[in-house]
Amino acid sequence: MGDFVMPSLGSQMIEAKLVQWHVKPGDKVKKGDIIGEIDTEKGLIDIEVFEDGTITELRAKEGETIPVGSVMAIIGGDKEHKAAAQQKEVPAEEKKIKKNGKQEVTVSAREKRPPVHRMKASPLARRVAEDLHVDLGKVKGSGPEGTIHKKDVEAYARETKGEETFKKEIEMAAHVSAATEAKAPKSMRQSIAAAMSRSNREIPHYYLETEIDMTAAMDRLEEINRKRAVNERILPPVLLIKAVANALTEVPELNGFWTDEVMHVEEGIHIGFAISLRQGGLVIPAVLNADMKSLDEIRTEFVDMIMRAREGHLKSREISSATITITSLGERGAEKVFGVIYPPQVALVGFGRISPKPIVVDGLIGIRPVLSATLAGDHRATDGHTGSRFLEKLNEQLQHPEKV
Amino acid sequence: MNQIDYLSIIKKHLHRVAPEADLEKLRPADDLGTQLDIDSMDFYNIMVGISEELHVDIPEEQYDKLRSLKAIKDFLASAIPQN
Repeated sequence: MGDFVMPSLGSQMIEAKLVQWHVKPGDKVKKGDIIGEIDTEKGLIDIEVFEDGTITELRAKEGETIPVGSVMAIIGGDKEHKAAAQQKEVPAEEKKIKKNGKQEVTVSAREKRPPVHRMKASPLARRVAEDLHVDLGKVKGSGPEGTIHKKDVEAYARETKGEETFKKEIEMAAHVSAATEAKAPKSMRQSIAAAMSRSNREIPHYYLETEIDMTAAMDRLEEINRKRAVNERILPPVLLIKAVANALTEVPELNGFWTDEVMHVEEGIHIGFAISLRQGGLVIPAVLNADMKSLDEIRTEFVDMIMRAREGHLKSREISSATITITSLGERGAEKVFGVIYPPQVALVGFGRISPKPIVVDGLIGIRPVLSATLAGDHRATDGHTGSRFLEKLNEQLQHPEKV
Repeated sequence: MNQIDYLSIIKKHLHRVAPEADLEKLRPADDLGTQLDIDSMDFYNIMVGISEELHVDIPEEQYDKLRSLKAIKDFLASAIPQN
């Protein structure tokens, strides 16, 4: 119960436009209901509520651009109760949202509580803080009501990091910002550029590859699908998502986020799947808790998610929750892909095209369907040994597809 | 009975899956994958749509062959009994 705020769907997101509300004051809402639609750098996204309640007020107007963390609507009734809860919660929350990186992983958790992140800061200040890795909560604002401006962030960064580091960071940030401001309408491109630049700048990647004999997996799918109607068939990507999720239960070190210089292993396994859009760019919706779901459940969700990615109706939760990402080139693509990790995640699994190849089976050369599986790992969080173990587990999964 | 207009049904489902594609320029024998940049999941979604609308089973082994407007249309014409 409380305020519904503009969710953060990625560390680079500073604001989004409210396209329309699907509710009006007085409407009852249930957890998971879609209450509106926002236009973000990731396309049109449906926003969901995370608790049951009644809409008491819609503060944001349709067409309005709203900064991340700002109140969009008030849900529930008891004002006094809410205010009291808020006061209690604020200090704890501020500690939690140390960095934008952390903020993005806790979207859902954050929205359950009264919001928090109420410090006033200009969008530019927020962006500069992100680029310079400054915790906005620690910056003193010089504007009216303590509003934080760009110069406050810079002053704080100079003071805490020393002149030299500060200059270097400013320079690097300038590249990203210049690209960002030059092409305002291509916001998805910008957001990818910013995330990938950050990844390349901060994450020391290591790369591993293994070739997986897909004979057993493909036979298994054929066996399953033979008896099924078209709309119930399991396609290879579905099996791969499930196999990755299962392998992660055995090598959990790769599932989670690197924030505040520490690895945070996540309990939920939410598999992001990069979907490239034909008009350019890509979105990465996630299959939540994929390790707990059956192939059929994943199939239903995945097929639906792809259609919605094309139309622009992904849900905020789907787009902000991935704990690891898969990129798959499909059947017409290149043979293998070495990916760039999507920060603050620590690993990216790349699948190439499944194609027939001569390989050695029981001492003889045979032609088998072979899949290249790669892992890009964050060397700050894990070592090649862990990555290698993961690929081994993944291979095991696909050699025994009946257990997947 | 009336001839079913397979072509417009196929195009309808192509449009649903690939709303940004220019279907006017698509020639009957063009490969849908390369012309419209349709991947296997998109293709699968098209097959699901068509099979549900026309109540026809499209075996998975056929997918490889059904890569053009003409191929899909011919398949449907042969798979669905004409009265």
